[in-house]
Amino acid sequence: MVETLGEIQINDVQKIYPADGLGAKTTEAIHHVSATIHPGEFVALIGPSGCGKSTLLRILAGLDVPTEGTVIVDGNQIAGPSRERGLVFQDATLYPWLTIAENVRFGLKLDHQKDTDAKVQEFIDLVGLTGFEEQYPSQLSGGMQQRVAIARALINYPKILLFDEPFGALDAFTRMRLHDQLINIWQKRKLTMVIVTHDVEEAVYLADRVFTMTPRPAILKEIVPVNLPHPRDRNSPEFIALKEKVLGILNFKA
Amino acid sequence: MTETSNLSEEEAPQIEAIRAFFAPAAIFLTLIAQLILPKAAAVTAKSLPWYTDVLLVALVITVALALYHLFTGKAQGFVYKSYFIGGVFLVLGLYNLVTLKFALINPLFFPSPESILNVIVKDWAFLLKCLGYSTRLLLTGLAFGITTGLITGVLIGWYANWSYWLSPVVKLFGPIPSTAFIPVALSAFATSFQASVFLIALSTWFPITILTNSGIINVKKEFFEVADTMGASDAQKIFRVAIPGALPDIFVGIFNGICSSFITLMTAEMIGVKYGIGWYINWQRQIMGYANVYAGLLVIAVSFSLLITIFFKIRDHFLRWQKGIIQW
Repeated sequence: MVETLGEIQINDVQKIYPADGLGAKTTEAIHHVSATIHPGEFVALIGPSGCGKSTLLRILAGLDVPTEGTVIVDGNQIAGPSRERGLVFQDATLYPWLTIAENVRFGLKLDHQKDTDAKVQEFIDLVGLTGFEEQYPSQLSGGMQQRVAIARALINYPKILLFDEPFGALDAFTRMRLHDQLINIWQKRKLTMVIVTHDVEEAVYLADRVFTMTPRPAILKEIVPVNLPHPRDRNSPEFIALKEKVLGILNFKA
Repeated sequence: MTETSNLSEEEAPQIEAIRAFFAPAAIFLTLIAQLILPKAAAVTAKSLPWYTDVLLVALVITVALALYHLFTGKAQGFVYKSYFIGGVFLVLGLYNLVTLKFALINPLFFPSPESILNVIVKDWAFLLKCLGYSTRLLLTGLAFGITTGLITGVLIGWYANWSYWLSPVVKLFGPIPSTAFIPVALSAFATSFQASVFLIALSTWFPITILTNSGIINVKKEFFEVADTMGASDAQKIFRVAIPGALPDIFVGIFNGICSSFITLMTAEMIGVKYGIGWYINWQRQIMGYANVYAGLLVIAVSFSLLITIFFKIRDHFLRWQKGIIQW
């Protein structure tokens, strides 16, 4: 891992869902979005529900195909899901029939890798779950499950890690603790991260740049750079000013 | 298990001691009735010692356990079961009164406990041989049924093309009780053994196919998407996500399949197959050997229950990650 890549070019991406049923109209989930995400950058996609942020993330993951436009990752147009782009969902979606260690090992098994014990342990330690290796997901709290999901994605050394509202279902304290852990991991592993969220504070706390998106039309309205060093102070005037700026763009201020 | 452990906390020691001695007391009562009361005049068969022997052995064991509990406080499992064990022997004693002692019901069709036990004592080798034949037939049929059921279930659940062609066939032929195929099977196969294997496999195949299929369909979509983002192939998604995810349903299907295989086994043996427990029961019924019929039923009850217990042990091992599964 000498050189970290993970550049994403989003070129005029449009996504239209066909009408489902008689008399129904087609839905435009994304209305022509173009942007570039730099290698090693942390980007937050934020906006109210229906703005297409999750659809855009699924397109980046390769799980959805844009109706028009392309996504280029490190010079190659994406054609489907790949090990280079990990994904963490809102609920951890750990495999309940596998232990924590087996969940983390899952990607290595798919890749037919042998002698993976040390590596699995390394990533379990990385997310601070040492001692929970032989537990089943149902025995862990939501926050712990989400950390396992992050370890499970990281172990495949993806260039890009995508998060779909990963902390939405967690309580505020767990969420703040996970924010710091995530920043820690991101600084250590220097990979590109894209997080979808509807929490403005989360976006400003984590991201280098906040992509604000609006529904009807579902467009990328404005990109807000966050030039604050980590760890960020949630109560500093600069932080609050940035939060208010994002809220203003999303039309939540008078 | 939790019920047993709660026992000592909830009940006072005296009540617990009474509970422990309920079973021996009930067995003692049953034994006294057997020893004191004379045989009914209508019962012509000569007296046999087996029932008395069983009661004696049971009495010795339960008294020993109750005393063991009294002095050490252990054998909580026995204390918990004590009421039930006592109840069983009381019912058995009542049946003994109704048959052997007072002949209130026709002794020809309702033989006394001692004559049923006599069959097991005298005929155990042949009963065991019949059980062996039944087991061989059942397990062969189950092996074919479970294998084919899993294969069709996975094919239909995973591949749209297979579902298109196979689903209607499954829906048309599956609900037919496999015993309705007996005439067809007997003429289509060279031996009645093969025909029975086919029928047992058929009755097992259907529920397993249906539940494997629906199990796979109900696996969360995100589980496959996560596998996709880790570069999983189709086969890896089937064997590492779809089948493990569908396993709880698959086991329900296998359970249903085993239950209907019992029905098919008995029917097949009563109709065509030589030897086997079902055949034994039917043969004894024809020659009015009702004590033998009951003995055969006893053998079936014990062995089928054992088979289901083994099955549930296997299932519990595979589904140990799951909470709150059906208890057996």
